[in-house]
Amino acid sequence: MEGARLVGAVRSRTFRMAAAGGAALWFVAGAWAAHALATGPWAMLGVLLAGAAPLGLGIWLALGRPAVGRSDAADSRLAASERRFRDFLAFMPEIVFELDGAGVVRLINRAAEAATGYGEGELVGARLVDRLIVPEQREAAQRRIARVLGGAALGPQEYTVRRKDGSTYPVLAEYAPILDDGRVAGAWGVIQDVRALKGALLREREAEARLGEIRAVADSIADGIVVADENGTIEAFNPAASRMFGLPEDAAMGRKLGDLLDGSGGGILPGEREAIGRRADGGTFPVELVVSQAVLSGRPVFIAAVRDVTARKEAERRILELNQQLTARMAEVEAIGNRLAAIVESVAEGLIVTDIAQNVVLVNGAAETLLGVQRMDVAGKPAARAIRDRPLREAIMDALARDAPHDAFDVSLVDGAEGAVRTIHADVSRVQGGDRRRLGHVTVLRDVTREREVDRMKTEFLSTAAHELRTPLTSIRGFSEILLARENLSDAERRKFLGYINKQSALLSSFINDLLDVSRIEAGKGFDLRREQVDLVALIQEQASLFSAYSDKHRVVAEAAQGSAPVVVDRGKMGQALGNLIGNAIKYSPQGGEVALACRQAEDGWEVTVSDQGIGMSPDQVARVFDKFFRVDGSNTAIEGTGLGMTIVRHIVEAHGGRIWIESEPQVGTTVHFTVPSAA
Amino acid sequence: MKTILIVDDQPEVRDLVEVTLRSDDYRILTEASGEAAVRTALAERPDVIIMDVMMPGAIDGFQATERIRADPGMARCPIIMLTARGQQADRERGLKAGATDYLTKPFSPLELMTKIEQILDG
Repeated sequence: MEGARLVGAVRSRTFRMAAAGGAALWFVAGAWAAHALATGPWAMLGVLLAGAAPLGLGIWLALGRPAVGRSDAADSRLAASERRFRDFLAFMPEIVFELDGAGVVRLINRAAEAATGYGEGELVGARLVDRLIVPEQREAAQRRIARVLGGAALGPQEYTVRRKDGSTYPVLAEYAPILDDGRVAGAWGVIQDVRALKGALLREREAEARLGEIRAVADSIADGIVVADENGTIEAFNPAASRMFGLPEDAAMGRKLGDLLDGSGGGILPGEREAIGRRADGGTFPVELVVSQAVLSGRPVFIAAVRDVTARKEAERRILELNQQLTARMAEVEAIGNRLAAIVESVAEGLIVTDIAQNVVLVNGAAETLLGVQRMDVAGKPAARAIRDRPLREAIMDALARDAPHDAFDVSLVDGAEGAVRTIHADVSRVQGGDRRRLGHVTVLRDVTREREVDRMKTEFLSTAAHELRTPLTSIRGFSEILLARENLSDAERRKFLGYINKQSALLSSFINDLLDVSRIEAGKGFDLRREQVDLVALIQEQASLFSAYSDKHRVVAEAAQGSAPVVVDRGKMGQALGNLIGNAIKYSPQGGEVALACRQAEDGWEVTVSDQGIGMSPDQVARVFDKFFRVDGSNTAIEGTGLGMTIVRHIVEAHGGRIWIESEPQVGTTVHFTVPSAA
Repeated sequence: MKTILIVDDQPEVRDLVEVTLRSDDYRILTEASGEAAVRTALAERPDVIIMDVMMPGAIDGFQATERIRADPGMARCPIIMLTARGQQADRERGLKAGATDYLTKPFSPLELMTKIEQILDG
């Protein structure tokens, strides 16, 4: 029986329900519900049917007995019994009746009138089917009754009853034969209004279908859904949860939800959180957990939706990792960019990068200074507009137009502010990309004013040095050849010529010493000082007297000695320095005059001064006087010199720990000061 | 008797050239600057001039040579430059200024003597 199966199902199962929104909702159908269904109309019908046959038999026995052997007393007992039976039938809510062998109503209870509107009198004596069953079912219903009257035992059948007022309602009818001595003497029957029954059945079917759907939804949800009671004991476990935890539904039942989840408050703390799921095999996996509380059948439960976020966590981790890598790479690239920019910026040479259309792409700080422009004013502009100086602009634009792999040239640049001419060396190089595509040019500008000046000075030095070498050699070679070739020379002449040779040899060797000193200074080796105790005052007097015979026009004066000035110096080098200074003083005061030497006590030793009344120097010349090969008047061939003297003097003074400086005024004279630390 | 003008600012070199060319056949004049050389050359009209290049004063040996050559009477006078400036550019400049020959210091007195004898005898 369908109803019984349903009741069985209701009894044996726990139902689950889930809300459409995804939050699962489970409920357990309580025992009361099963009981209510079990004691519903169907069960009652079953009870009635089960009881009908013996009841009928009892009635039949009671009614049939008078026919077999009646008596008045028995008749009166039988009448009383029949009355009680009729009263009992009258209490029955269902229509109960007795049919004769033709299906004609012999007996019917009062419920029939209440249900159909036909009085007992209208029904008794009429065929049941004719009176109560709708015309279209009458024949089939009569056939079924005939089969029962023929002795068959049949189950209930649905029919439609037509009331007296013409309205209809569905019923369920069942009959049982009345046996009399083995013969069928008629039939008992019951008619039950099935509307309430049907409504309940439909509701049950709907509920079952709904539950099936819900179950299917719950089963198909990818999230694990676990229902636990208030103690955390698992009551339901969907397939997704089984897969996740590696735990069959049966095995999960009765376990604690907290055993499946680490660090989740026993799994029954309502709210959303992340946790670690523990698989039956001991493995773990990250989960996202939503726990809600619900009341099912008046009992609090916890419903946990569990989502395995392993893949998401892995993706997140990977994204994080990639992001970190990307950030690191970006930082690297930025660092490289910064480094390159810093390098470009810190290069001493001016850099101008131009594109293939000869527009300025980049200029560094040195180029800004050199060109007298601001990069923001020239970036993206034609190079021709960025370079104001006409000769430089024309030279660079020519080179850009030539587009040779490399172009190098010197250009004179007039410094606008001071009008000084500077020499700029330009290197224009073609820039090619990796694919050999031309990208433009990079122009490197270098102020080579000083280098060119040094070059010029070197050339001049070479010619000067050659001259300086030729002059003494002319005397040495010439006079020695004369002395060798000529017999007719007087002794006085021979002595004079030998004197020339000797003097020039000495000049030559002093010049060579200068050269060696300079080359040593150049090589950064400095001087090898042979220090000894020297009286600086005595040394000055010695040098002064040496030069006093040198020139008739000059008076070389050493100021009155202030006792002694004891120092520890290289006597030869210090003498050389003094000699160079006195020599310069004489050389650069062609009109003659006094060359005064003095030695005074200074803060940290002694200060020596050499003063002349000569041609003097401009501030610019003073600034360069210690430069190698610099000569105050290089064009004046009358003043001989290699341009090395002052360089050597400076290095001698500094090697002794002293300082040197110059005061000079053109046409007035020059005073050179230097200090010598006193003997420690 | 031939007249030789020796121009050099260095007394030693003047002595050297003078002793080199000392002979009863030659009259020797000496000057120490460009201006003096031009003056003496135009006044004395020597048969040969030995000219230094780098000398103090307003004009150097090149300019002195040019000025002497500018005088029509001195157009053919042999002028031998004797200088410490030995570069090819200096030599070319000397020849362009009108020098007949160009000798660099240090020189061989005997060579100079031979050269002068050839010029004066030839």
